[in-house]
Amino acid sequence: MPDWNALVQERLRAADPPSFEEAEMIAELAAHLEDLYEESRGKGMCESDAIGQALGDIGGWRGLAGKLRRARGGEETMNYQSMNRRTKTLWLPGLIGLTASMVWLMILQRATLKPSMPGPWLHSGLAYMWYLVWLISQPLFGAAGAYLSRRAGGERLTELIASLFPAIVMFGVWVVLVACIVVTRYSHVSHQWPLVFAGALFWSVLPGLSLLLGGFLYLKTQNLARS
Amino acid sequence: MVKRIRANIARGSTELVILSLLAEQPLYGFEISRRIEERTEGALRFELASLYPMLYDLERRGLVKGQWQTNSTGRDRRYYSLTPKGKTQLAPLRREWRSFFQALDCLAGVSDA
Repeated sequence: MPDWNALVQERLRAADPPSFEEAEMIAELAAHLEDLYEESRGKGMCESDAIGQALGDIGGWRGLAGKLRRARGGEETMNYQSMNRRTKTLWLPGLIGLTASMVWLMILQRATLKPSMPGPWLHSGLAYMWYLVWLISQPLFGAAGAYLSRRAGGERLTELIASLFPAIVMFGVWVVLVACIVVTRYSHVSHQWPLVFAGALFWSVLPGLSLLLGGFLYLKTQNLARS
Repeated sequence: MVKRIRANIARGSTELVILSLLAEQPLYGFEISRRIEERTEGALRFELASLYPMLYDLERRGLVKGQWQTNSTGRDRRYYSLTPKGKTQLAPLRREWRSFFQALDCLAGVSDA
């Protein structure tokens, strides 16, 4: 009978040198081959055929080495799967929500702020109704983000982040803008900080609350429907 | 004699099969492969190259635990048993597969085939 331990060790290391330092795994695979060999011998098979039969269970050593490495470490598959899952449950719903929200903002602005419009309209507060309409409609986009994330199998926190995504991006843009302003023309804006912070309030905090409300209400109604 | 099931279907069910067998009693790799073959009358057969990667994957995920013990012939073998996490995972997995087969039956009438 061959030394199965040495055989498995030699062939696995030849197939994938860095991965097979684990004596335990080698011993386990060798034991399996030994059992296969014994079984075949018990059925009356000659030694060389029994060895061939046992080794036939391996398929290819390189393929086995790759499978074992992935199963033991799990890095490649796990990273790919989690990335794929994150894309479907967070990035995609978030980006769709952001795009829809921005397109809607653009439509509202174009519809209400035209230079050809009468002066009284343009100079009255009514011309800026687009912001209020946009803000009030944000729960719809938040709910859409949460819906898309849930449909892709997202967890509760992911669903809420997906619904909040447009406000997170806008906050990021605001931070970058503020950083640019501070670096380039700090002396000019130092007395306008209230306005700068109002920007964060109107373009990130309020839309964020509005989006979150939509996402939260959607998830709440879904949970109620389910229970 | 049941026909051999196509590899991709068999692969998806491996996890359920292994966890179900280990729920009955701890087994080592060779025993698992033989039990599967016997119980399914040869319809399912897991070769070493597909069995151990699955066992190691289940172990890494904390669903099974391997432990060296001496078997009835006096040889050291690595026996796998279900962990508490594996036990809790098994019931929903069974439900999932039951629903899958029911759905498949509604669509394709597999139980009459």
